[in-house]
Amino acid sequence: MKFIDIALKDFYQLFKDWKPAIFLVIAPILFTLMFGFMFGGFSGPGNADQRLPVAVLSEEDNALTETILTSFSTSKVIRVEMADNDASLESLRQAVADEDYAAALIIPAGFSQQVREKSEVALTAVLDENSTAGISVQQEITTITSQMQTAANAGSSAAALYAQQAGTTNSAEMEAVYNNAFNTAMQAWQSPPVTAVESQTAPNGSQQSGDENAFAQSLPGMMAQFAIAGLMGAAEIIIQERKSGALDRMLGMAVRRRAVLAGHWLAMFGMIFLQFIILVTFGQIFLRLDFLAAPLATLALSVASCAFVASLGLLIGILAKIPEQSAIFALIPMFIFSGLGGAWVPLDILGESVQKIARFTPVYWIMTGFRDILLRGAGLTNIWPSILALLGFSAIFLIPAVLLFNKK
Amino acid sequence: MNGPAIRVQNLDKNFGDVHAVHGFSFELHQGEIFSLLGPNGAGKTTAIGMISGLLKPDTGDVWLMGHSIQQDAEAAKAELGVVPQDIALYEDISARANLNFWGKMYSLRGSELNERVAEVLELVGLEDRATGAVSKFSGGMKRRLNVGVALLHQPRILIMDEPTVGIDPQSRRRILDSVKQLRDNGVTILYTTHYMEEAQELSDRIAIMDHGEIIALGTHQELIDIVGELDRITLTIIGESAKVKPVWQAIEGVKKISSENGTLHLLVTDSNQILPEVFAAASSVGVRINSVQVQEPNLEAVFLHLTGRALRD
Amino acid sequence: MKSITIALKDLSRAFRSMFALAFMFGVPILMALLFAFLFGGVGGSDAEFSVPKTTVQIVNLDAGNEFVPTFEFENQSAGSLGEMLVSILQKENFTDLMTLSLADETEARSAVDEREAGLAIIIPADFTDALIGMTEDSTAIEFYKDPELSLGPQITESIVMSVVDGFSSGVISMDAILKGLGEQGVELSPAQQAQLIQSLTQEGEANGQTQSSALTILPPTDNTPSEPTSLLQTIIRSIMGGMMIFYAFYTGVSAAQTILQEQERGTLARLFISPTPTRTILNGKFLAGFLMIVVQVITLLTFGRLVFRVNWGPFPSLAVFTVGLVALASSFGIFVMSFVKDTKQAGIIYGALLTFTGMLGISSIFTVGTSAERAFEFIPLMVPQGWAMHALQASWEGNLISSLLLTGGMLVWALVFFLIGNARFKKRFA
Repeated sequence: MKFIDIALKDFYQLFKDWKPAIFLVIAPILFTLMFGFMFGGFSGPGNADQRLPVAVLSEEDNALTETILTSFSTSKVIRVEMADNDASLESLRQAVADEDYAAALIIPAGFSQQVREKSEVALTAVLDENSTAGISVQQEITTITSQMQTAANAGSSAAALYAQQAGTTNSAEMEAVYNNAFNTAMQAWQSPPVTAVESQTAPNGSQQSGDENAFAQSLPGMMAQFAIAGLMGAAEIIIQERKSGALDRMLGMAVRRRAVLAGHWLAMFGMIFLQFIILVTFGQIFLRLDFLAAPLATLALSVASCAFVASLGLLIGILAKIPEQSAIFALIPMFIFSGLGGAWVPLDILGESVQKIARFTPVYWIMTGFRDILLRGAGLTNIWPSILALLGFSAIFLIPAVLLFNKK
Repeated sequence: MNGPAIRVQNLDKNFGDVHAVHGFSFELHQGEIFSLLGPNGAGKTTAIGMISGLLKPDTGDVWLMGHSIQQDAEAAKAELGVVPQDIALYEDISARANLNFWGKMYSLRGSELNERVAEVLELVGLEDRATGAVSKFSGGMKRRLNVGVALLHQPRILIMDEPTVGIDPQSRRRILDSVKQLRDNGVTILYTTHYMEEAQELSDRIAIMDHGEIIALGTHQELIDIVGELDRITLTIIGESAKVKPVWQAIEGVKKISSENGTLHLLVTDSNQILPEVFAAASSVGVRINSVQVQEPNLEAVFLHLTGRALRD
Repeated sequence: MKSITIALKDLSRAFRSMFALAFMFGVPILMALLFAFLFGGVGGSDAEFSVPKTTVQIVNLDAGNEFVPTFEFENQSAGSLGEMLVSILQKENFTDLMTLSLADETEARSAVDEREAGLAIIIPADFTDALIGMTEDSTAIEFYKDPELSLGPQITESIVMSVVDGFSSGVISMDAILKGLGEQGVELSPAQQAQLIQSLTQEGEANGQTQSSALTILPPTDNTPSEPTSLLQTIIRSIMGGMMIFYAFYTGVSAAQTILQEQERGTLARLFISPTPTRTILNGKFLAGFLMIVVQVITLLTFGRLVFRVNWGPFPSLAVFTVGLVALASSFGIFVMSFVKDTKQAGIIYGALLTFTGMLGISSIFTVGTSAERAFEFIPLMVPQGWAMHALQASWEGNLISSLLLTGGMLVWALVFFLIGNARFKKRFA
């Protein structure tokens, strides 16, 4: 059982300085939270309003402008902040440029008249069309002004029909009809006849919240990425053993080569598995990700993932001549596999070609497996393709590692 | 300049509770090789550190060619070349690049630098390996280059801190011959070692150091005279040393008996005459002698006489 | 002169180290290339952010309304508004965004569950009734999504609901008109109502097109660069800028770490033994870090400009930013290393401190447009990397004043770091 002795020796070397080990746990947690934020996790502390702030300057003050402001104020996307009356267009543009606001909206003088006479809802928006915030605000403004357009048309039609039916051109009466129809329409948009209801596949038929979805992407991604990052230190042990002559000493003691390889592999596997356990526990407790809904699947996928990473680490340790090389040999696959495998950004928002290539990266299968478990309630029988793929990747890295080691 | 090349006055250095060096004073004459001999941990490296200006003494001062290392450090250091005990080179660059850099640190420039680099490479026998990375050198080659760096600026004083530790005999021989050649060229050399043979071969004067202070100083003969014409008999025995020591002490001509690590050392006037009596005395108390070695007076004996311990531990 | 010799020696050693080169140049460039590939390819403004195509299963449960047997729209007849919705979605202008097929409800949900479709749209049985005002309560279209997809189903839902809103506008307008007239005692006959609803439905479609031209969009400032920046370039600029700052600080710490390495190898002692003042030696070390970061930053800015045509902003603000970044990153390295005893301790500095502060500092690029954007505007300013990131953002926005102010802040940080670090090293090597 010499390989176990070798593994325990490696483990001791890895963890005798606990500080880098702490980093390998803290860093993925921090990155998980950051990427989770990026994709919508943690809507905000307490009752804080997370809507995009939009400065509104109204150059008119009447019932119509009140109506439009009311519609904007009930928006779930934007938060209206009234600008000072003496604010200028330039000051608003500067404020948006300084990111004091996501956008600014100007209700120009003559707006009401234009709506009434031409049924045209002419507004001016200051925003950056190349930013996601700008795009979101633009869409929301378009939706609301579109509704207002409908109301304006209704008002005009009502007024015209009234004039026709009643045979009158009394402007006061027509205006009353217009206003009535307009306000009725604007109010009706608050509860339109058809709304959208979202639902999604979820384990046990439960509804997954947006928060949990975000971390179901970021946590597995960071688990995979930082498992590979940890190889920098783990592979160094193999390199130092070779450089110092300890390896020759071991082989001279009739320790079999396969025992040496198995011992190193086992130590790396153990280190990464421990990392996985900590991160899964973190996700289960703090991020409400239900890994334990399918414990066997979680365990099997974790084992397969750790096996692939350990095999990669073994190959790196054998290929690299100096510790600095091992750092680079670990970092490059870490970045490429993580980026292409969907650890940073959900694959569905990337190009089709990327989505095809992703399947050739091991991280893709880690992500797919864990996301199936967390978001679809998949069990062991459902995630077997991921497990098989990861074991395949293990073999792809392990076989050349063994051959090279025996050759050297 | 007529005065001593190196004047060391009352150097003291403590590291916490450890008195590394105390009351350290001596002078080196210009053009002499002066060895500082002592076992590991005697304080040689600490002393060298203070003399070269690397360590600040708690008390005392050092003058190199008349320049105080504390008051006029740059001028003092310009006179000094140091070959440190450990290899202090940039291993990822070539030998020539190393020499170029260190030469510039000693204010050598342009053609003067280029000439000196070429001379030093030849002096240390590395002219064929000038462009190779130092990391690929053998231990001996690195040591030679280590020495070469110290010689670039043609210092008038050279400190060599155990320069032959852990190298092959050929390289060692080369270094020792270089030291003599330098002395012949007028360089004053302060040489630290725990190899008695080196001190004997090279030195005009030797200081024996132990526990942070000089316990004896003089020429080789003057130091030998401390132990007189006493021979040293080294024995290992089977039996109790407490039984045999008194009977040996009683033998006329036995001047001193000491033991260390199971080995007994006797300083005697005439080993040829006394040896049979030593055997007989041991036998009379039932002690068998396992091994015997007889040595004529040397520095090892002096150290043993002064400290009761062997120089090589 | 000797300081420069020491600095150049360190520089040449750094550029021989594959590890140093990887961190200085390789990783930032790799990240930028990776993101460029991920988000649609390398190239200038032609490279566009590509919207994903979603496989959609649509279920039409709409029972129609017996009182309105057919609907006419664009020369097409449909037995219900649900049918009309389906035929609109099947039009060519949506085929880039979705692949649509009809299915029954069980099939559609199953397809999403099995990941054969990204979205199932289930049109309710009372869809027509609700839209023609025959029901009191509103109804809902169910969008049954694959939880692993984010953007595609969202875009499809927006499109569907905008079409449905067009339908809704008819009934809303109708009710509003009838109520408006009713308040004045005017009522329309059923035939008049039927005609009215037909015309309102058509107007609803036309409104959508008119509306987009009635909203005038102005950019935030006329200082925006003359060359347009595509979304891809914006992403690359953010990623590359963030990585450049992140790794500039790594370089600063790495350069300062050579002091510890030389101390351990004995070459620092050798330098101190030489007639070179301690001040000169330390200045040479500091200068080395400074020079390394200058080379690194200029190379990365140039690479971004030439390969991705990233617009970093006007030269004055970019130059100001560069000066600030170089001073700050190099002095940060000196400051950090002055607290570290040996190279072993330095490892944790690399791993933990730099990663944490670097991540925090550049976090604003990841949170733009998200609910956390406001919070992450100020949090990064707790670390020096955050000041650098803000200064770079000010540069590419062409905001010279902000750039100058932020760089001033960076230089103050740099001065404090340098003074403390320098004093500590001098004390250590006194």
